[in-house]
Amino acid sequence: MGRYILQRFIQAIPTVIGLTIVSFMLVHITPGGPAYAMLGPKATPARVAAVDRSLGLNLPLWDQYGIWAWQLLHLNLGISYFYLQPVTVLIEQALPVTLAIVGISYVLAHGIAVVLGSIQAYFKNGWFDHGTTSINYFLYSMPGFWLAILLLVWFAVDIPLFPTGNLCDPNTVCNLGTWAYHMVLPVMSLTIGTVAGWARYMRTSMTDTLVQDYIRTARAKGLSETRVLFKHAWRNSVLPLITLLGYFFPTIFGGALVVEEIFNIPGMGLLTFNAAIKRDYPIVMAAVLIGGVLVVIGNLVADLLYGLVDPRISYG
Amino acid sequence: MALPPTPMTATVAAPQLGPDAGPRGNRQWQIFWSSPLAWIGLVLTAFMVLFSFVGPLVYHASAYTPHLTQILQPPSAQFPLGTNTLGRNELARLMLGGQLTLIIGFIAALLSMVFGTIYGLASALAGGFTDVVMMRIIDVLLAIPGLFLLLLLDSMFTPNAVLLTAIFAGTAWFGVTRLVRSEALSVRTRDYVEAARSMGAGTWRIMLRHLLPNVMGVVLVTTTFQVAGAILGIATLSFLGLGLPPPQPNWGAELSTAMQSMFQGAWWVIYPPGLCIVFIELGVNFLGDAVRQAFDPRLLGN
Repeated sequence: MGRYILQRFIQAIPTVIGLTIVSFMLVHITPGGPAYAMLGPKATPARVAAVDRSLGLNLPLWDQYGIWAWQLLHLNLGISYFYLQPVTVLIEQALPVTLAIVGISYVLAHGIAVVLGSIQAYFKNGWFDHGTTSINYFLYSMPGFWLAILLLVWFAVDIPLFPTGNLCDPNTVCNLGTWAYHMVLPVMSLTIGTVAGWARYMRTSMTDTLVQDYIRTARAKGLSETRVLFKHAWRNSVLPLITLLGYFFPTIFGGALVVEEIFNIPGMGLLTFNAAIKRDYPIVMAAVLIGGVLVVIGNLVADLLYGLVDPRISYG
Repeated sequence: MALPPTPMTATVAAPQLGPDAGPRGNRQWQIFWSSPLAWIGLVLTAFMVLFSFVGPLVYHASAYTPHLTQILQPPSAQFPLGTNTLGRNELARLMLGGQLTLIIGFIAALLSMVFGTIYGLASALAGGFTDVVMMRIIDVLLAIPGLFLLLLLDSMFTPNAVLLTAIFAGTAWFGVTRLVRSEALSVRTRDYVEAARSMGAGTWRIMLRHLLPNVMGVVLVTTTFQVAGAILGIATLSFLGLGLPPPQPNWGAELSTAMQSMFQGAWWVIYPPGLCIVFIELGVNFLGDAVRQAFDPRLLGN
């Protein structure tokens, strides 16, 4: 097991190095630099050159990458051009917010999808199954931002149950309760769409499991239906969903960006969005890199979890 | 690690065909056409295509003229779907907005299909170290959240239709590649490919004549879902204000305008644009599931 983890870590290294190159190239080979964003359309070439020089953008690309990568190894992500603060500080504020939204939605979506899919598979082709499949199709085809707007209109405007946006800082301004209160609608938006996608995998997986011989054996032994379902069938049918944890991570991360924009939540998505528009290179590079690394870690964790849940898989 | 998406539609069983169902290609299309999903999908997609392209020919109204005295008016005889916050005819804008969305979505998916297939086949054929490096590149690209990538590329340029198509194709092709490669790898070692090679067939001939037909099923399935993905992507980018510059209409941009009048109970600017997106997405997703039932080799055995 230990050797396997080490092996997977070593395999992930080229991917992470690739990610640093891609995030660097993405911002540096495209036209329109930060100087134009800072100085506006009337900037003279001399002033643009001066800004570029002060930011080190006049150096050869290779040197710029070298400097950035070397600093990165020291966990120094540079200083934001516009906020004039270290990028690490900005990300330390934004990342927990996004991870909270994504994490809570992830767990909720996973739980709901497992329950829904199992019930669907158990009563296959019944009214519940057909109804849920239809609703899921609809929700799955729904753009995340429209769902968020509808939730906002229904539960914050028409029936003013929840706040329309913003998020207070859980540490200083308000307590956990208010924070959670502000999180309800954003988390709901992200969860509902995800459930729609996952329930169908769970349904298929559970359907496949329920016809297995060992399930028939368990029933033949006279075990109660609940025991057969929860002790015998669940464990195996949840397996594919664990793999999906890694697979859907990039999608949910993207979804968080839209939700943060709509509810005006100061997370990674909003930070990246604003930085991309202002050409705040250090933030953009850091955001792409962190997003990518989180996905790599997500896949790694999913692989390891898989082995934990299914003892048949050995990592010899 | 990426699981092949599982069909949501196992409730609609693939029809059983008689033994005289003809060659494999025909049989697959027969399965496709006998699936109710295919028909529902086709009707929905056709409806949205007609709405966007034939609609403006039937319903003559400007999508651009602001009616400044009739801002945010509910549906009436003059404006069947009311007006938005700028006093523009909502119905006309939805029709026109669909045109570029659909064109960009379809072309981007086709381009990404062609490039992704070639890359995947080339990687499988090359094998060895080249294959490893080519797939590592795909790993890296797949790890970056798609919307981040779109956002970055898009925010660096002033978007136009051609550029948007290129960006969507450019961020979608690596999704196809892995599937094509693994499919091609399993075919590559078959006897008839070996036979062709021993008879002196070149790399390109093997690729086009022997590998391509075998991976077409996977490619067709993925491409259909990529159309849905691209359309959703365009709507999302437009919603974020990074689509085609205003006053160019788009379903996503209409929803972004609608958010400004959220507190005024203007349902006609909130529901119709969203439903447009849902209809086309549903249509294409249904078609995709029908294509998968018919063509995905992994499901053929069931």
